[in-house]
Amino acid sequence: MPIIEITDMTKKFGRHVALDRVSLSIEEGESFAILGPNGAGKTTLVRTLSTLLKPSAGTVKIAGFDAFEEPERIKKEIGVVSHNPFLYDDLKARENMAFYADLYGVGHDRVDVLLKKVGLQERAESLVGEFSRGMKQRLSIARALLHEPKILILDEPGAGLDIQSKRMFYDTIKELNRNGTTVVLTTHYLEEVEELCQKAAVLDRGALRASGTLDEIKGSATTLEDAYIKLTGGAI
Amino acid sequence: MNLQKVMTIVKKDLRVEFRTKHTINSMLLFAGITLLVFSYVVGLYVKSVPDIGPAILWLILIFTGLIGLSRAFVREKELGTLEGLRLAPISPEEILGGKIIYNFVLMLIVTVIVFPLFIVFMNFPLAGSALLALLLLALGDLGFVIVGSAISVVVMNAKARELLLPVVLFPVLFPIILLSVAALNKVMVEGAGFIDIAGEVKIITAYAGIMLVVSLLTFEYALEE
Repeated sequence: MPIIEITDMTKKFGRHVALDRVSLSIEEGESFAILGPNGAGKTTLVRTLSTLLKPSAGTVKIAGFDAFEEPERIKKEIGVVSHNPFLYDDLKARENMAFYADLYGVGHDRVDVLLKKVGLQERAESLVGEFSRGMKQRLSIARALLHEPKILILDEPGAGLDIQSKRMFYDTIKELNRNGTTVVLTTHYLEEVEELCQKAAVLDRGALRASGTLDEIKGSATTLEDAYIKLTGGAI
Repeated sequence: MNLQKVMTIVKKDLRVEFRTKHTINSMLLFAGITLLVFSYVVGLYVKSVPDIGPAILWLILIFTGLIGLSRAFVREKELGTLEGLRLAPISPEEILGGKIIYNFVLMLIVTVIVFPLFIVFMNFPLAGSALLALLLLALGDLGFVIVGSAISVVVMNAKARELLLPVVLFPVLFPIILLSVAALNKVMVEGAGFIDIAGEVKIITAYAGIMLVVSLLTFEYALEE
């Protein structure tokens, strides 16, 4: 049974159609990439899945709940990691985690477990404003995992990360996916998709161009990049 | 509304504020400078301080309060943490409730510091109860932050949001300002007791209550993109 089911979803901003009758389903435990050039509608799709945007038409069901009717239920099932870490620079790492733990109704014992998991237990009492981009992103993953979400939504999370941080980040995502967490990832880096995801969808100008396993997306093309260029048009 | 979640936001905001002291220091500095300027000008050119004293006190507090109001949501917006709040299982009403209480605490701190300074610097002959005047100011503060917190969200996405806030806020705030100054005048100048200002207190409370309900009902739409 799909854990995410999008049916004929349209999202408009005024007259601009950001997503045009997109249908997509993601099975529980999959690691799924959403690809597309700038302006394709990836972020709009991810923000709708995150309940930050409401669809203009169509339905979005996440973990069995309707995104329009029951956003509060969905929020408990998803964790979101974006290029913006959603952290307070003037709070310490532990204080940031404790704040979100209180909002999610999670015990503070989980804060230390997660800080250790992302390798930040020794910086727990440091202000987040003093952290590097990589450290903030690691803390952001810990924040997103506080309530043990079934679905982890990653919106261009690798942007600006150094190689070490990226490696740690990839390893964490792979481990979570192995343990059953459904991962939805948007990225411009195709190597990230090949490393982390089993399936993908390609969006272009608000429309779904292809969806399936990476091999299905590749089709007759030699590489994923060739297939991607073919699907989205070579010219800018 | 889950009060525990509301207080979680209040505690977080106060922790950030008292660690950085950015907003409270700016508010107190502004209030202090304005008070000094008014006391100097009034001492030189105004013969009867009691006639305009309560109005001056209120204006100082409201302009000072604007500094805090414009920061409460803008700081979250600029940091990108407002999305973090929206992603958490917390209702828009709980977010607004938290911001109202946080702004109210800042306003109370400013009021408690500014009021005695005002009496001293303006050499104001206080006729009534200082405690009643403070309670009245606190009620006015509450009305101000309820209206102001909601409006600061409405203008949050505007380019010139800090300029737009007072323009949109003052017409809506007018009944509270008018009634608070009238009641404050009765207490500070005429020495009136609570019974004498009960009418004003009731109307301020009712207006703040109505604005609170309207804010809670519309806040979700103001947060939407």
